[in-house]
Amino acid sequence: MKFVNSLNKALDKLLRENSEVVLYGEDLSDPYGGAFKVTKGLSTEFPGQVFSTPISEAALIGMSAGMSIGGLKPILEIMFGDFVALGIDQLLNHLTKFRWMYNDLIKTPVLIRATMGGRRGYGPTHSQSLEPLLASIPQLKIIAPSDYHNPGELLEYAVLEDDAVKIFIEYKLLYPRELRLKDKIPDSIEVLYSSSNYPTAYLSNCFFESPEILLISFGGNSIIIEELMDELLMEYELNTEVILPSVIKPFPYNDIAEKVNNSSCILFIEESPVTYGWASEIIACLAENGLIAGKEVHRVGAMDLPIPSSMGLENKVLPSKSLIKSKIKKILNLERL
Amino acid sequence: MEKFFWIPFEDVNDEEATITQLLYESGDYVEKNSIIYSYETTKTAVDVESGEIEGYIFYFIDEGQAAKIGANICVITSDKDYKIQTQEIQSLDSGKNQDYRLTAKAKLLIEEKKIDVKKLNLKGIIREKDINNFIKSKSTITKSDKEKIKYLDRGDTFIEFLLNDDNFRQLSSEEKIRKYRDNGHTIGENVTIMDGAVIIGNTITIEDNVQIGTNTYIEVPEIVIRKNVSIGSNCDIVASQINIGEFSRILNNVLVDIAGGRYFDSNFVCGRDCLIASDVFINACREVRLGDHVSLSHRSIVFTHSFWQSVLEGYSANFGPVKFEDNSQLGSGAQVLPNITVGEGSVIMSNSLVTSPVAKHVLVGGVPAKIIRKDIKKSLSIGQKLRIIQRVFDEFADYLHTDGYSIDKLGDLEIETTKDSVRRNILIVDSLKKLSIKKDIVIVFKKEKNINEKATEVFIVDDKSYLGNLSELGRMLLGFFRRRGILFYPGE
Amino acid sequence: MTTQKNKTQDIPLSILREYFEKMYLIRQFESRLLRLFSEGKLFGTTHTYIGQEPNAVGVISHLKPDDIIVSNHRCHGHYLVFKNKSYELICELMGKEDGINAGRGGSQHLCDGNFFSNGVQGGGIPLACGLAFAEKYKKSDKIIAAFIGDGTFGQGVIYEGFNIASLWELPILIVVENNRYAQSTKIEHNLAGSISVRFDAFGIKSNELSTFDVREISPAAKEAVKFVREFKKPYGLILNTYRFASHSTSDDGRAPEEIELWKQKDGIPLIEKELDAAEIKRIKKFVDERLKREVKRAQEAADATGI
Repeated sequence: MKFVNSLNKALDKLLRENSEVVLYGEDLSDPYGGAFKVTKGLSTEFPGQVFSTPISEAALIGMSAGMSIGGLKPILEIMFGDFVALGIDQLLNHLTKFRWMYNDLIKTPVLIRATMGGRRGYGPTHSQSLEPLLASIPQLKIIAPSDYHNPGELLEYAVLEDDAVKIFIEYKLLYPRELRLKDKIPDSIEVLYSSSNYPTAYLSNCFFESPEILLISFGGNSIIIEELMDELLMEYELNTEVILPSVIKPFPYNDIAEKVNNSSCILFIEESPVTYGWASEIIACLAENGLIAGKEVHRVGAMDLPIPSSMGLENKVLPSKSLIKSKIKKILNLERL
Repeated sequence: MEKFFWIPFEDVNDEEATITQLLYESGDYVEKNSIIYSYETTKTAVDVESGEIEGYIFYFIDEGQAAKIGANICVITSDKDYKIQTQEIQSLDSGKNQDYRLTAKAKLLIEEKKIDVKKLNLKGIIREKDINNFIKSKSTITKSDKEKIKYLDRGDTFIEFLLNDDNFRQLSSEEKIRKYRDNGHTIGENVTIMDGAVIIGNTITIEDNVQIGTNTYIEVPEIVIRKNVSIGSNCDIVASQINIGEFSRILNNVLVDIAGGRYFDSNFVCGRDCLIASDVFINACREVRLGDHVSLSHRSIVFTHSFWQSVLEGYSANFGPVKFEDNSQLGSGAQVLPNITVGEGSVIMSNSLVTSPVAKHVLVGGVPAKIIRKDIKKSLSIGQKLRIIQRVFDEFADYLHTDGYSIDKLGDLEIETTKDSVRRNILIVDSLKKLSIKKDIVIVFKKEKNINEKATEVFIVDDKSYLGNLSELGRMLLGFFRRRGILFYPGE
Repeated sequence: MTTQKNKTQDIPLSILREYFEKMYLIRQFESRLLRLFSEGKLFGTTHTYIGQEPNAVGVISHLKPDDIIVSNHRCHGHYLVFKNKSYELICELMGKEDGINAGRGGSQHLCDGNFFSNGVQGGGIPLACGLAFAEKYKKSDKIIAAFIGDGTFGQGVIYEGFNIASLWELPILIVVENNRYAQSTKIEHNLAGSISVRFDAFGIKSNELSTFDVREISPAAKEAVKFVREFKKPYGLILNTYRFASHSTSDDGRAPEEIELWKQKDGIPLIEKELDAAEIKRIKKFVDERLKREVKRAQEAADATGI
């Protein structure tokens, strides 16, 4: 099943079985069915619950707070994650603060779906991965499935069982991907999962035996990582393990502590800029807990620049597969082959 | 007149699109400006119209499948019987159909060791260690064989003596044999070590009726030579261990060496009744093992190593044993390279070069050798065998005649011969029960009870054995039949 | 937009007395706050409602108890009229456990059931729209009253809200309290065009008053509330007013003469002189004692500790 279809199915189920679920955002209605077709067919099927809005990200985000306080379970689609910036005040100073500053007297079970990620040539304002920016907002939960997770299931759980304010991140490149579940897992990779509600996926190209390097990443980076794992295996027989959590904040340290402890070489991969990026936080926390003393720990991410439109330039600013590969080769001194 | 339709590049950012609907079936007639198919990408859904063309539509792809941008989806043609060429049918869903993939390290190892991957039955991801495991499993060396390299015991005074003393070789055979026995080696009866010949070893065992020809030099730490073996003259045999089976013959000028380096399995071993013809060269830095009744013809060559140029420059170095299974034959001038097994009953044509293992019962030839014919060993019926033996028998009778015997044919299967006034009869029967009186020499197929009552000398075909003391005539028959591969060994 | 000549309808004395008491409560509460701040007994800052009491009383008296109010940083007046919980409010400002939000929100960030306030200009409009949407979705009878000021019209998000509220027909009453100053900036330096035209632009019915007389504000508010509840459409009630105290605490740069001039129009004395002097005295005494008691009690109450 494709990533986008998994989401569409889950939304269909949510709307069908829960009249308090409403889905709104820009250009959602049929026949267009959303900029990335995630909501295709839903406005026709659930006309009272699914509707398109004016281009007003701030108002839309702010309204989700009011809707949820009023007893609804709103799902807001932000067409490009970059546009969350238009509503940062409503997110930062209103939606995420209400519950706590009002002493838990009200709840705001809001789910905002936002696309992130580049490598499509959409340019500086349509390609960003703003997770680190959003992660610095207290009380905001950030969920970011990869194609090794079941995004539909995660979405359902998040809407029905999790009453936090949540941003559900969907990487654009993942939409047309076949989900890597059961028989669709590539032949060189084995997969295990943690038992958390937002499970962490563990990948290995060596049957989880004595990996030489541990990669930690999330979301759409799984595409490059999958190819990398296969290439590293075929070209160097490099034993690689990968951790892909499905939730970024709060970060599931329990799911990674043991693997980190047992690794001597760890590389964090993100598409957001490295500077003040996602990996910095994780590494700081791991360092404080003494889990990475004396180990090779590295980060790879975007340069501190806007993301260019042209493919060649985009591939220089965003971390390319070849860049990550040469970094791994350098860290592990792989030229011995 | 025909028009092809494909998904244009400029509309989409994707590399593939899903064909969501085919509005017709292949072969249907389509009017102008009809919608013929719909496709969907991550950005858009499009209905495609036929435009200003009408005709018969043929689709190259199924509904629901993913199609590459730019590849043909369908054609509208005036040809009612348009045949879809197979290369037009395209779908991204056909993935790699390779059964296995090799890592770079595995490929390197396969290159180096010249392994034939087709023989390996590979599936999935193959790593270097998997190839290593295969190599180990194919090795003929068993764990118990993993002993240390055997060297001549240079601390042994007799061995030093044998190595340095020029005169020993010129002693008579009896004197040499006595000296060997005095120094603890086992030498049987009726053994001859001709002039100039010397055997140097830590442990020497020679059984009865063995002949070692003139000027033959054997320097091997462990030597076992079974009975009735003859080794010709001017042979030069150096190895770690040799084991020659009974009735085997090594002719003149045979060389056995350990170029490539002495190793724990630098052995030369052969079973019974083998023939190592003249001028054969055997390199035994790894084990060369012959089964029973194997022939290495004149000037044939066996190598257990191959190296010269540097492995750092992409050249290969190989070391490995060679095995000849029972009843196989290496043609004259032919050569076998390391890590080869020649299968049972197979024949390698003269002047061939064997570079890969040879199966059973095949005839191979050429450089590099390829199979010329398969299944060269056939199972014949009794009737066929009888006819063949009968023909051989006829030829034998003619041969006796040329050797001064007078022949009386008493039938297809029986003759009476006379030489120097001694009359003997020879016959072939299917069962001894048919005999009323005792015959001199009888050839039967199967062993039966109370054979010695029916014949003085009996040759049992299926058993490959003979019973009774052979007369001169019997020995002539033995040799004549042997030269046609019909073998008889002394039976109980 | 309609600018009516607002008639002072006949309001029964009992109601007027109620109005007076509520206005007086606000005035006294806020004044006490300022004093406590100057005495160093309160932490942080606050934004007092002094001068604008008639607005809160005139509008909120017409809301049902289960209607919803979304207020702003200057929310005490709205809160006291709607909830009448001065003790809890003072506790909240003092950071006491008994506070409305146990000291977490403080002066500007209140939430009590169906009363919300937040400190970002205009930020409450989307919240109000969302709440209105939910009520409409649930087919309830409730309306949302959102209070904004003149300075708020600089914030883009309120226009997003107006657009959506009008487009989707949400039951929201937008009450604009134009006190002519956005913190320290006069409206002439802040606002282009006029406020009422902005409502016109979105097709939102509106009404504008320039009075401190609660007897004028009340009927206009009643009409506005009725409109919203009946037609489930937004309505803009523009109340041109003035605050007598500083924006927050001791940050008043306005000319004292100007303030004095406006104080002449104070809406509380206006009503006071319509009522019986003895009644007034009784009410004042009652309110003063209540507040004194509550402040004392709040000062002795336990501090908030929970995170």
